[in-house]
Amino acid sequence: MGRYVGTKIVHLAVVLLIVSLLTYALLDLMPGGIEYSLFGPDATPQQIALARTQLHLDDPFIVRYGRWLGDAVRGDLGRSFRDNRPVTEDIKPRLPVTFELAALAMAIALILAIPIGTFQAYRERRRPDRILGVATITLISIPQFLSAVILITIFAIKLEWLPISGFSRITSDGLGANLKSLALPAFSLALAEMAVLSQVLRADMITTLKEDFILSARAKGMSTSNVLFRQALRPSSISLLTLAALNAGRLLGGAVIVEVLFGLPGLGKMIVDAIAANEVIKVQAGVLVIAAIYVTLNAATDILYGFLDPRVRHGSK
Amino acid sequence: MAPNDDAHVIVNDGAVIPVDAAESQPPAAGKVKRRAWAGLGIGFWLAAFWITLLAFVAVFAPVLPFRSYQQPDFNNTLVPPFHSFKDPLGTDELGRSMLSRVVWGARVSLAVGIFAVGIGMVVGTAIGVLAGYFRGVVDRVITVVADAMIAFPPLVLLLAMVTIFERSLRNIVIALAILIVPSFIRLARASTFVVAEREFVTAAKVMGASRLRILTREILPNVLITLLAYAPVVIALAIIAEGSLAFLGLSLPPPTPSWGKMINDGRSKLDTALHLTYVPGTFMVLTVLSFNWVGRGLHAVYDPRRGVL
Repeated sequence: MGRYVGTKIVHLAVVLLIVSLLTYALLDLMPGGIEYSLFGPDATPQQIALARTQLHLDDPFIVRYGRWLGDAVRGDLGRSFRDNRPVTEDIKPRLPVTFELAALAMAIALILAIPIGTFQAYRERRRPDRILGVATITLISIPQFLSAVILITIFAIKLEWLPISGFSRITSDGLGANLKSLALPAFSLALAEMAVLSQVLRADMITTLKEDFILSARAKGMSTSNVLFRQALRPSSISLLTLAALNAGRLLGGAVIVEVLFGLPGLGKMIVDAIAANEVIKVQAGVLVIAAIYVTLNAATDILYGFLDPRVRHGSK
Repeated sequence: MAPNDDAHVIVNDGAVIPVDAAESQPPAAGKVKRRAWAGLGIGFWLAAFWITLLAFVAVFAPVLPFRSYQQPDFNNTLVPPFHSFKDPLGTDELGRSMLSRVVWGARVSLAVGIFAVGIGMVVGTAIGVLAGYFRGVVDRVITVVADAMIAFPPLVLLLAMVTIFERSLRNIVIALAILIVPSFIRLARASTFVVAEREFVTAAKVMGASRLRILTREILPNVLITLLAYAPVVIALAIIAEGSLAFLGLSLPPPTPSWGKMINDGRSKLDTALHLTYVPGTFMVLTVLSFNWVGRGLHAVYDPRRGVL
């Protein structure tokens, strides 16, 4: 076990290192250099000179990267070039918003996916299974921004149940208003997610339902819902949960469009705003944070998986 | 390597598609194959038909008798769909023909999807097959770099790339191809592992075939078949990615019409003129759905044990 965890952590460290290198290199590649993109084509020589010294742009790439990484590890992601505030100050209040959105979306997706996938497996290849199969592949084919627009049309414009955009914090407006402001964004993210998850569960559940212990449970006269949800669900849910954990990490970064569309003050919105304002340092910081969270979650899932299933730990590659 | 790394490939938009490399078999005998094609159902052929039709109209849009997508008609603004023979899908707030705009938008979506996946697939397969066949240090380095690239939220990476480079069709295709490469590296690598262990490869080795010959004549064709079944699904994801960029106003600059941009523009008129949003929206969903459906059908043909995503 120790060795398994050790390998995973080394792998994680290497991937994180490359992630940081790519993040730094990407924005270093800007044509005309960072200083021009900061001030535009009509930058004064003084501004450029100041930027060059402040950002140490005259040092070789590897030295700059090393310094940036060293600061980043100590929690300093640089200062915004516009208002000179540390970027981390801007990131911190945004993390809970993005986390809440991702968690809510994943919870909705799982709550819907479990009964749908189970029912499809139970009715394998019959009409309900086929109809739900077509419905899910259609849901997967609707881009996030379009499902958001559809939900807005129905629930915000026609029915006027929910706000079109905006975010209410729990601390100032209470939980009800908070959930109301997140309902449409979370559902927009959850729909496609639910479709993917339900199909994964369906596939695994079909295999499980062919096992002997299901037959014996049935033979003993257990009710169908008991067989499905008490006996079959647990052994069928490993892929489902792995995928849910992985995609929850992905939702953190994938919420960009939804955050912009609904005006939620999350990390994705910050990155898009920073791109529009040419705030290179903020873009770097945001991308690094999202990617780091994702990679770490991914590794944690793997390690947890190793604890749960010894075959993974000792399994051949 | 993570245990699930070889079993799953993470493609673009957060969808993780399980690929069990061990189950991807080389094509079966001709007879079985023909029966599989016949059993694909009407959905597959409808999807294939839609893609063909759209591709035809998109390619020949300049010579087909459509109204110009730029030509305004201020006497006929915001005509709803199916109300006029001249503009079957209605007009926008400037009286421009929605049909022409949607067809010209299809040019962008299809070109981006097909070229980006084409390039990404060629590069990714080449790297993945080499890594999977020779293994060793190079393989480790390639895997770690691919892992790191997949770690970036795709849209964020895409946004960063299009901000840096000028927004032209070529650059958007390249940016998307870069996003797609790591997924195909993983797929090709995993699939090479399996194919390289098969009897006909050993047989070729015994007969004294060169490494190059084994790679190009024995391994590559078998790996490609598995990968080709994934291509339509990845094209669908690429079309969505381009649509997302356009929706944020970061794809091709105007006046080129693009589905994502049209959907975004229509958003301000959701209460009065729904068709501004839902005409391009319907085209987009139909197209993405068709590619997904074709991909699903190809899987069923080449891998009878796996039907769905």
